[in-house]
Amino acid sequence: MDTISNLVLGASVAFTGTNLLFAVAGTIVGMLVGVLPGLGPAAATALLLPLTFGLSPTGAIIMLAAIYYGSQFGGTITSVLLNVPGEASSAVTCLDGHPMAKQGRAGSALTIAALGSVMGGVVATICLIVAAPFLTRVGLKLGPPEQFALMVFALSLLLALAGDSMIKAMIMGILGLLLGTIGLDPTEGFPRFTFGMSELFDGLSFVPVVMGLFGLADILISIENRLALRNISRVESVLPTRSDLRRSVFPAVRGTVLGSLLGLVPGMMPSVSAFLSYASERALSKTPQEFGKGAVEGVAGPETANNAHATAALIPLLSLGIPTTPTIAVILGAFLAHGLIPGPLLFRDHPDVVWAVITSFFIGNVILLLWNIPFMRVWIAILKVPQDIMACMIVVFMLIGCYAEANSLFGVAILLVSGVCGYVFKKLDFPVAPLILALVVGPLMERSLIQSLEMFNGRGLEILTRPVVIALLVVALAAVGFILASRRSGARFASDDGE
Amino acid sequence: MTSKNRTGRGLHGRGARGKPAMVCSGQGPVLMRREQLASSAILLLLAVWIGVSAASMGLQSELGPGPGFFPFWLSVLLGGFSVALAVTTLREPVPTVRPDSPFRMSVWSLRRVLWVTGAVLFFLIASRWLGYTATVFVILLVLVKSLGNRSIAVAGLVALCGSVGSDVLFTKVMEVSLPVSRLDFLARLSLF
Repeated sequence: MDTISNLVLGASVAFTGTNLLFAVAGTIVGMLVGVLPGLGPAAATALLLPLTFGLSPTGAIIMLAAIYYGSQFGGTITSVLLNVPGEASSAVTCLDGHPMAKQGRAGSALTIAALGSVMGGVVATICLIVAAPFLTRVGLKLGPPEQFALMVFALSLLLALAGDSMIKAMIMGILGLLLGTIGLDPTEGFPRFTFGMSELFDGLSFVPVVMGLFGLADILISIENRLALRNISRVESVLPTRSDLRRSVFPAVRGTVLGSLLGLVPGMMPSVSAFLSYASERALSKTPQEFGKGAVEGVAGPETANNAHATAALIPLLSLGIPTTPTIAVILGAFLAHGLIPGPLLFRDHPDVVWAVITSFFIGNVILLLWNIPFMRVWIAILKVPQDIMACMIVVFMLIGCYAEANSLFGVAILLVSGVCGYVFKKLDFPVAPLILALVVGPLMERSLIQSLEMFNGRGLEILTRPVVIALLVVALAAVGFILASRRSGARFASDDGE
Repeated sequence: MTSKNRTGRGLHGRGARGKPAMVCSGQGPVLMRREQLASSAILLLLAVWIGVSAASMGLQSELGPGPGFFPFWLSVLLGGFSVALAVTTLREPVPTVRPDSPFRMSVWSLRRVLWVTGAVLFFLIASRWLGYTATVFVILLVLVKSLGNRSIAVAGLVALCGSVGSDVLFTKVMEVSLPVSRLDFLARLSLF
């Protein structure tokens, strides 16, 4: 009953005109982000975060979350029509989506992807509604030592974000934690690594850091080469055939389950769910030889899985305060910027906000469907805007976002520095996603560590007397062992930095 | 012709068609040995500097852990992993064919990268004097002309629409503050 009354409360807030408008705006921007290769959801949510400071917390989070799951939708369009994934999670859709387009079935591929995405998003939202109150009750029982152990667990999974080198991923995670120590220290207010700059007293703002590492660095990498002209496949009809629909049902169901489960695991990206879904569909298919040549199962499964994953990834954030991907880390930052701390207390102290946000996921997914299929030709028209002009405009929007965050050019300076650093990191194959996650988690982790040490009068080892701490640390070690073993056996998790 | 490395994992040499074969190891392909060693050294120096600075802030205080406690231990970890990166790199087999540096690029590519970084730097320096609209007009004019190799007329049109349009969108519609010129005549010229 509690859950139903909470949903009614959430719906009463989410269905107000302003919040509906934010959901619509978020989905449009998300679709745009997905359609335009070069600007990932992490950079886009960071870009828009400063512009939400004047909004209500509920409206702001609804809009930013809509950008996140909307981008999973948008990436499909370029995968199918251009054979260029707008997002990493849509990369696998190129394998069968583009061959379908070449056969004149682009509309069918896009519609099935859209329907699958809605199904994945809606089912994962139901999982969120069921799981979040339970996890919240667990979370409320956690003291600072357990919270610290939880952060250690979350960070241990950073290894899953490693590209070629786990050592590099660890280095980037530590650099992120170190960047999180910039500013006044949490106990005595002593300025650390501020170089006398008052702008750094409140800590290093992650908005220009994210935009620099993901947005500017990506643009610098992409403009090194000539921006190619696009050859867009034609879309004759958006209606799928009955056979395509029938063949898509079970892949979509399996994709939903896979994405919803993997979304709960920190460090897992939606692309991992999409690739695993593709692999499982191919393995289960009676006609595996059709895969890669336009098999509709190769579109339905992965597209459902990545959207289910994107929504399920919000469960650890909302219920325990753990960000699982860089974009979720930015959304965590948005909560903090609006004076809200995601986690168990959020459900207790601000049920109107959190349940409105959850309800908005249903609304957002339906809006996405409405935007996607009937307006397909509008999105295709956007694809025809020259890439060089698009890149220039993205640079301008980044400048505005960084300036607007604190009405100061200091943010632009951080954008420049982090953009150049991100460019160098990408050239040297240092993954930047662990840095962002650690930057956001770092201050929370330090605070819980210090509180824990104060609880035990500085005797750190006594933390290990608490059973939950031991359990979490064992799970963290097991996760590290599993990731190491997986890598040794040749399997590798995707390291799609910008998601 | 391939040869195994000390651990028996890596392969290097020339592939079957005479092309340089990928040099493999437990840490992935060895593509940039020199750059990796340089980055290890820089990270180690950074770790030392952070460690010394953190220690000077105080590792302990009367209340418990001091301001330097957390960054100090992080710097120790950073130093450890920097050394591990260097050791791993040194243990990799030396490629027989020297791979290209990831930073090697044509003058044309370098110029494009510099145009964009220069644009951000220009905004940083000029926007407080020229104001938002004029600064962004210049940036868009130069970037569209140089990156897209477009005519001055097209670049000018895009710059005008982009600068004025974004100004109206953000200042009027979204009520975001943007830099205003400190020069009176430019500030007065602003139509918005």
